[in-house]
Amino acid sequence: MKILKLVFIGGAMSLTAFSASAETFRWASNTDPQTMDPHAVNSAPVLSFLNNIYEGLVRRNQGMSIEGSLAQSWEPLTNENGWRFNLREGVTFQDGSLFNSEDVMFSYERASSEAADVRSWFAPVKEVRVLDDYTIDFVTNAPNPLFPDSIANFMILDKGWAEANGAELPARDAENFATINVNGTGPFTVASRDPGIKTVLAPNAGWWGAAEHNITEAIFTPIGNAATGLAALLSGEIDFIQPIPLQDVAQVEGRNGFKVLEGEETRVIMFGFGHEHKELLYSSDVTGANPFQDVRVRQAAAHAIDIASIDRVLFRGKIDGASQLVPAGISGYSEANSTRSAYDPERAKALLTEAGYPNGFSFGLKCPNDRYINDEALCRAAASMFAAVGLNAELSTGPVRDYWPQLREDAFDMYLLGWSPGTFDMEHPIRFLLSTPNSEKKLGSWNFGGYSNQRVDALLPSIQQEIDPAKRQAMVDEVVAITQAEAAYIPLYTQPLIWAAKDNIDLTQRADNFFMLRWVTVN
Amino acid sequence: MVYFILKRMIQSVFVMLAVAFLAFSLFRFVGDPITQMTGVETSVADQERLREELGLNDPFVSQFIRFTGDMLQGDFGYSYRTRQPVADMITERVPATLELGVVALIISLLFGVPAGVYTALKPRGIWTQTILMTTLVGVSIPTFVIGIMLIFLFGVQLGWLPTFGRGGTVQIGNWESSFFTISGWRALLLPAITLGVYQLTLTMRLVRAEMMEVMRSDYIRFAMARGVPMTETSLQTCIGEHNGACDYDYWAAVWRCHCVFHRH
Repeated sequence: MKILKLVFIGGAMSLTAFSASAETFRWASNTDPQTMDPHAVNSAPVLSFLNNIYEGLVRRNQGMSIEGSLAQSWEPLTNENGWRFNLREGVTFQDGSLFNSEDVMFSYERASSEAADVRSWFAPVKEVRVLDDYTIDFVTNAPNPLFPDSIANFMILDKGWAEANGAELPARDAENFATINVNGTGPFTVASRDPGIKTVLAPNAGWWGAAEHNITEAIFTPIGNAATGLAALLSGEIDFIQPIPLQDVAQVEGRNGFKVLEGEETRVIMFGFGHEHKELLYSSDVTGANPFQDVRVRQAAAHAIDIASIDRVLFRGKIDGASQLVPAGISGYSEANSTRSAYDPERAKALLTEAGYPNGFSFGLKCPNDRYINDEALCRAAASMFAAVGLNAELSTGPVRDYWPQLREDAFDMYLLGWSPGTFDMEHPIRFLLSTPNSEKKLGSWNFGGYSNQRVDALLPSIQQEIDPAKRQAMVDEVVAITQAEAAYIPLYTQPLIWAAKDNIDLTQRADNFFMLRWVTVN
Repeated sequence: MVYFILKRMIQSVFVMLAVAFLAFSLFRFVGDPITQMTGVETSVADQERLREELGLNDPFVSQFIRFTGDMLQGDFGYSYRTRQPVADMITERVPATLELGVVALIISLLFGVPAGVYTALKPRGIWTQTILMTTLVGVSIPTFVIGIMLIFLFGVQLGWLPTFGRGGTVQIGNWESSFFTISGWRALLLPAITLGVYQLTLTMRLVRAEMMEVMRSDYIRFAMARGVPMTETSLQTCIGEHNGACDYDYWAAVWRCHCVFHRH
């Protein structure tokens, strides 16, 4: 009898839970944001999550272009380099205090301080001046047409709140008040947070914007194990999960009531070469020379890759080949150079013969095995494609925590890299991947192979400063043409972005893999 | 006796030091902590400054001494995944671990001991063979695979039980318990069974082996020869001989179970 009663109560409870959860939205992801402090960690999970709670001067819309947020409008300064932002009036923080230019000034000082992880965004800034309560100038060292784009994730904190709670500076390796607590101007606020376990968000009733969503409560659970996450979706305990593994797509599609959302990330996967290495490190047959310094050998490697087979076998037809370091649709994408190096093993062999390696040679290929989708399988496939033209890749793979240090120590002949342009502009990979490494000027910091071309180096500052879009594009086209001709990298494809949700959920999948609650509708 | 305890305690100090050394080396040398803490755009100079601030440039020995010294004072530092003090995280998560472990242990004893006794008393019976064969699954399949299979069956296909989390919890002082809500019990069931199956098999086989050994001893034969009923003898004497099978391995399995069911 007692058991019967328990079962009955259980049934009743789940019934009420269902009716009350009409607009409770539950979602999961594989990582929990490490902190609620928008200036402490520059990583996608943190910035994506906090964009629901905090706001910047500008924000990205569904199509990734910039629109006003806490700034209503902005224009270039007339007598000097920089931008003037006209702030939105009448905006309040979630604790009720009024937003004004002092908060922007404070947030700028906080985010550009040594304790912040996002200070690289403000490298071009010379000075910030408050004109009045709702006008603020960002003066830059040189003309900087991209500056508003580059600060889309620069989120504004309330000066009074941060100072009252001892959170004047972000805490990068410890915690402070802002690590767990929030006070933003955004559409949602945190109702409760248990790091690593559960975070509950509620709509911000005082938000300045008009809500497009119909959520009354949103519950986020980080689920590290992909199989557990998928089971949670299929059993109906969560409404949405990002991302799901490629091999599980068929399982979700095969069920009633669920859908798979497929898009493309902005991340381009590529192979890089040890351009500046005097000799191969992992070769059994070439000593005292580095064949990859010869452009013909690099082109041969590019011609050896059969991207259509990789797409069919490894990615179930979900990828598009890449011709350059950003995908189409990103500003600065070079339409003039949009053909990728063709799959042509005969041409590859001819090029190798021309370069003096008719029988090919062996070299070391380094790949991570837990960083990108199917990264290890991709490298295995590529290694056999290289071998078909005589390039014998000694593949070694490892977890990403070992991978970056190895690349920094130059322990590779060829390596795999994925790059997502943080500013959504071609200038970003030119600065990080194609410029000659220079730690003083903060250039080429991810150009592990040390690719160097004087013309590219000379064009970068002009690209950064050119206001006229046509002139700017002409310079970007030139950089892309040079680096394609020199086969600086082998761009492979744009990484697919796969999310899964219940059928009754409408949401927007933005190309930067950010998930915005304000575009969610529970039907 | 005092000497024995003292000896063991000194030994355990060395074991603890060795474990601390291994854990610390893993953290320090497998991968670079700085690259995991910072974003892609952080400049090399900023990374170096952070490295210096955190004392990662100090000699290994002094880093290790600082690490163990802090630990002895109960200071485990901050987690760079959640930015919380690690000591707090451990205390918050201990109730979930202990509750799961205890329930699983009860399940395994509740089924393991009777099954062990039965299979020892009737070593050639058809039920004995069936039990022995089916419980072989418990030891031969890793815990996490059993967990995923149970999730798939009871969570996804049948939809009877939740697939992750702790369900509803009740706060009693510092103890966050899932013993007092129905959803808490529902969330506890699958992981406890997963863990219990493994432990059940071990318990059953240990009980069975020890019982069969005791049954062969002279005084049991004597009792049987005197006509004492079989079941009474076995239950009273034989089980008394056997003391519980709780080992380190058990708590390692509890942890794996947490990972599959995402209970921490």
